Amino acid sequence: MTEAGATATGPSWQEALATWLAGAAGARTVAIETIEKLAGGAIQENWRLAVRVSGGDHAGQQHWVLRTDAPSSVATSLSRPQEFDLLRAAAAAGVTVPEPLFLCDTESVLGRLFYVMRYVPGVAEGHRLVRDPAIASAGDDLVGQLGRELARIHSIVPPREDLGFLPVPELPPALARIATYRRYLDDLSEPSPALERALRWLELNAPRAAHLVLCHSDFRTGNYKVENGRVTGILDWEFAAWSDPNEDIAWFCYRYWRFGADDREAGGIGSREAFYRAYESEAARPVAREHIAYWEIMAAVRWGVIALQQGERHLSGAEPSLELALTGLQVPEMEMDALSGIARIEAEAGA
Amino acid sequence: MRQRPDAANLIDMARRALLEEIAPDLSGRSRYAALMVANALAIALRDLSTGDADRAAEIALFEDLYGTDAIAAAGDDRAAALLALNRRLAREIRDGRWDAMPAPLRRLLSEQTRLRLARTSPKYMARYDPDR
Repeated sequence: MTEAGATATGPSWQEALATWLAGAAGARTVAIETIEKLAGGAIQENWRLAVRVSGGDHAGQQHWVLRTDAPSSVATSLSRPQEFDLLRAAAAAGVTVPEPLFLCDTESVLGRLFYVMRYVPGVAEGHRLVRDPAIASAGDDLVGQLGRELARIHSIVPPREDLGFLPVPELPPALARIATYRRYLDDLSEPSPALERALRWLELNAPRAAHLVLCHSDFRTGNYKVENGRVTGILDWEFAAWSDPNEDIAWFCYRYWRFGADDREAGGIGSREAFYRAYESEAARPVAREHIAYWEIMAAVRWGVIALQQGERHLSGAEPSLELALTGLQVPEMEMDALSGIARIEAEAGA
Repeated sequence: MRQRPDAANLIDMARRALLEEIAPDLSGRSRYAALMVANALAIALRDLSTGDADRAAEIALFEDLYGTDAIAAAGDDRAAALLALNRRLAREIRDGRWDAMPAPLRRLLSEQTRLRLARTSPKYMARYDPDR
């Protein structure tokens, strides 16, 4: 263990884990050679494991990731067992994900629920990816892979017994999102007339009908891994929901997730058209381009509300932090994204 | 009491020392933290130089929308008045009272956002602001 006190499970937790892993893997023994906590993740913890497995289907040297809740985690997203079921459904639909291996749905081993998936190699950090010269020269190929991945995620549609924990929204997805973001704003001390204006506009212009699909809901640069120009895994499924597929497409293209590489509108990686065309070829359904602009306003509002929430954690004194304070100060960028996006749509409609 | 160098000058010099003498020797997490500190100092510095004028400008935008009497009633503490006025406007927009989007409201929303961007995100202003 590289970080003292990172878990409250006592000195023998590694032995308990090794014993449980051996049982789950159908092995004689599992020896944990290294275990280290991976960076990032305020809500979830990821631990990378190097293990030596004797016997069973996994015999040999293995690299796994153990994912569990952070000790102070609040239940705002999916649980680990639900995430495990989602990874299985995504893998079965042909999505490139870290292969889900074993679920521990009892707290008796580590004091928290967890699951184990195969470690996937590659780079996830958005700032590194968009500055990689190899990616810049083959960006359209990479967003093509990502467009096909997203279309495969969206091939999963309700009702699904294995995903019964995902609520089917009673409102059209856009109106459901608007209600949620307004509820979040009501809990904050800083009002935002600009975000309220954007939400009202989104309400008045909401698409009437949408066919519901499985949306990843955080499908963007930073949440997938790339190695040698290939996507090795779509990560971070905790916000998945039944929603409008255009929401995921727009979120991927939203300015903030280009990490400054603005000339490549699809995730700071490649062109929008390459992304759309690959999606269309896999989904056999056209991307409704006029709806993407709508959902990019929603993306700006969503990220603006989240940034306000992070700023509030600092302002309220609950968690004084320069990083949270500065995130809160980024809100005007999202406010301007939303206002100028609306002005553009209205100008095009009026032209 | 000596007044010079003043607060603005000290913050400016502290930021320069951080960026020119300290940050170049750092890497990883500490470099990231140093750049965050430099960013925070830059925002604080802009607050010192334009904060009063920014608040006055935002008050004037609200006067165009609500009339001078309503603004006078909001009190002399500009920061507190602006918080109350923004809360009121946010609520009214949500309730649909401003769907017609009259010109003073359009101006208020875009100028208010621009004032905030100039304070916190000059890089964004330079790259994305459609009116620049």
